[in-house]
Amino acid sequence: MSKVQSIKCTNCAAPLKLLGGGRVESITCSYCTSVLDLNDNYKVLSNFKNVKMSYSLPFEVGMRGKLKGIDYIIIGRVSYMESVYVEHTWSDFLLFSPLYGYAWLTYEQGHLIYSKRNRTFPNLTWEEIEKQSLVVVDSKDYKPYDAYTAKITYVEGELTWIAKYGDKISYIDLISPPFGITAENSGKEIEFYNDEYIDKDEVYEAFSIAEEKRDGADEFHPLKPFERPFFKALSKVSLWFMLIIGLLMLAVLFDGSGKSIAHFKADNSAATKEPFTLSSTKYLTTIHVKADSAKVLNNFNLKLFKDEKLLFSLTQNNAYIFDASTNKVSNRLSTWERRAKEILVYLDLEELGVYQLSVLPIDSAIDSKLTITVKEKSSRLNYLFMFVALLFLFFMVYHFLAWRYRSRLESEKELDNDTSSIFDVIDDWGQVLFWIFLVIFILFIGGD
Amino acid sequence: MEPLYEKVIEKKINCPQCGDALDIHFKWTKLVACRSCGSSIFLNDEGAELIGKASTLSPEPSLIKLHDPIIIDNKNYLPLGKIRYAYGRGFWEEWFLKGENNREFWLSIDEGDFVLEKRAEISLPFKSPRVVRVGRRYGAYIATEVGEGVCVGFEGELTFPINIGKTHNYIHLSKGGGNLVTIEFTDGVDKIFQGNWIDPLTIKNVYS
Repeated sequence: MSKVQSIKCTNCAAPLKLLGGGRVESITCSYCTSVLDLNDNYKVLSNFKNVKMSYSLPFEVGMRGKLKGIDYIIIGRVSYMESVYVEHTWSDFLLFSPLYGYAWLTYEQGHLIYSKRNRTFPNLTWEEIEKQSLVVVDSKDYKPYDAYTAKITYVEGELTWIAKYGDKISYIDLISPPFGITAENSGKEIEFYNDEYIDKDEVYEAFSIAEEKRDGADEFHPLKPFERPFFKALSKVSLWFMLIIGLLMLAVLFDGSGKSIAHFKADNSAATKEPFTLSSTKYLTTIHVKADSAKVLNNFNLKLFKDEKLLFSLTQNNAYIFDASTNKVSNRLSTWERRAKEILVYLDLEELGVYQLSVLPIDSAIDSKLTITVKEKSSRLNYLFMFVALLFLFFMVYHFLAWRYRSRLESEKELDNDTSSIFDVIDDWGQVLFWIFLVIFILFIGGD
Repeated sequence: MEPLYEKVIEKKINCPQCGDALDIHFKWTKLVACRSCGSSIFLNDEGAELIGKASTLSPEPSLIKLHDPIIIDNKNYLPLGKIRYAYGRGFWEEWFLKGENNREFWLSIDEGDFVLEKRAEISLPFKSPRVVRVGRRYGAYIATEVGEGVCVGFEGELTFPINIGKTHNYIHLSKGGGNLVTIEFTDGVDKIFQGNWIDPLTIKNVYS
């Protein structure tokens, strides 16, 4: 029935348009708020005269818009208030399409949900639905989330049943964000609806809602899927970088662990000059100096020569790199901590050949001994640690937010017969723990 | 398998009223409405018999059009006829579809609710359909709807004669999960159909 019919209100004679099709049973006069029975000569059934809505909504009866590719007209509205948590209110707008029939657009504190009748729900009694931990409908898993009773607080326009002020309806919400199923029990029959959380801006555009009437919404709604596209992308990119760095570190661990080319001892009795031959300039060259105490370590100077030219000088007070061609300092470096008992020097030696490492005691009266090891082909990955830590932080932000969202979903859940959600959380944290261990492993091998 | 999207003509007759040529697209067609003069023509073994004037159905928007083949769940169907029933302030339509292998299907359309069914023979868990009440369980079934409508007319061709103005009683039984059994009855059970609810958004037109 697509034609628009016009009638007169049998209470106040105001002209009323019937927009909604053959299943419409009642219309509430927009002038005198009388509810008229369309199947009984527009008899006045009740009145919402003393009921005023304390707030206006973005949508109105008579508005047209395209949702899910279907041209709809809003033909009616019912507002509800939950019986226990009275601050929980929402309004259902009845949509009609001559081709696709009826649907609902639910407005709930700025969130919008599109619903259509479901005919494929399994044969379960009301009590059985509440006890399920999971209900499979059309190959999709739905978790019972909330059970509550609400009463009608306001009615406007046409409805496919006769609604009265204070009528009570029981609900069970099952969720699988962004989808859900609502079971409605009016006392006369049980009906099921497929719900879908929809983007409010898209709907506002579709129904040409003025900017000033568009409401914002709370961050949380049980059907609103957890979406943080930026952090999700960041998490994925970080994960890939961590993987690449991990593989790089593993490769370097095997190839760049260092090959000993000199190992000797020095003491306070005299200067020690030890030659070593560098056969590879791949990676870096390390000089590892170890003493029994900080006092012993601080009693020595190290100098590195090639072809009698000073390249590097190191004492507890200063460290210099020399330009071999000019014999002048080309770079000044920081030296070791005063309390250190061993040091590891990384040098980027560019020439192959024989080098001389000179170890000189500063005070020959102090009884002191050093062990020196020179290695070539030593990789240095320490500088990646901070980067990996940063990447790990980026990776964790998304998972933390997801965990926080799930925690809220769980905390606001009224029906507690679901065990699988706990496993979901564990499963998610299991993944996180896996990556924590991987990073620790990488840090461990990198720092070895 | 014959290409359903081609309108296969089983036979041709001439309208006994106006003489216009009428194509019959289904082997078991018994009733056809003449598109030229609107006569109802009954096809029997002897030939075509004029049985009256078919009611002209008011044009209403519909996803289905006569002789415009559709696809439901990857199967082709050719709509050949429809019967309209009135209830309360609205109506619903029963579309006769020719399915693959020349099989007969019925697509019920009631303001966005679509059910695709075919004739079935099942033993019913009650003696009389008159005792069935909505919401009660009967064997494996729950009665989900009991209703009636008045036949207001038809278009195209049908596999049985209809009585315009006659009240049509029906019961819907469900085992859950989208399946449906429809029982049509007068004094006793006339016909039983079995099928499934269809999401109208999944119905595709062959040519679009």
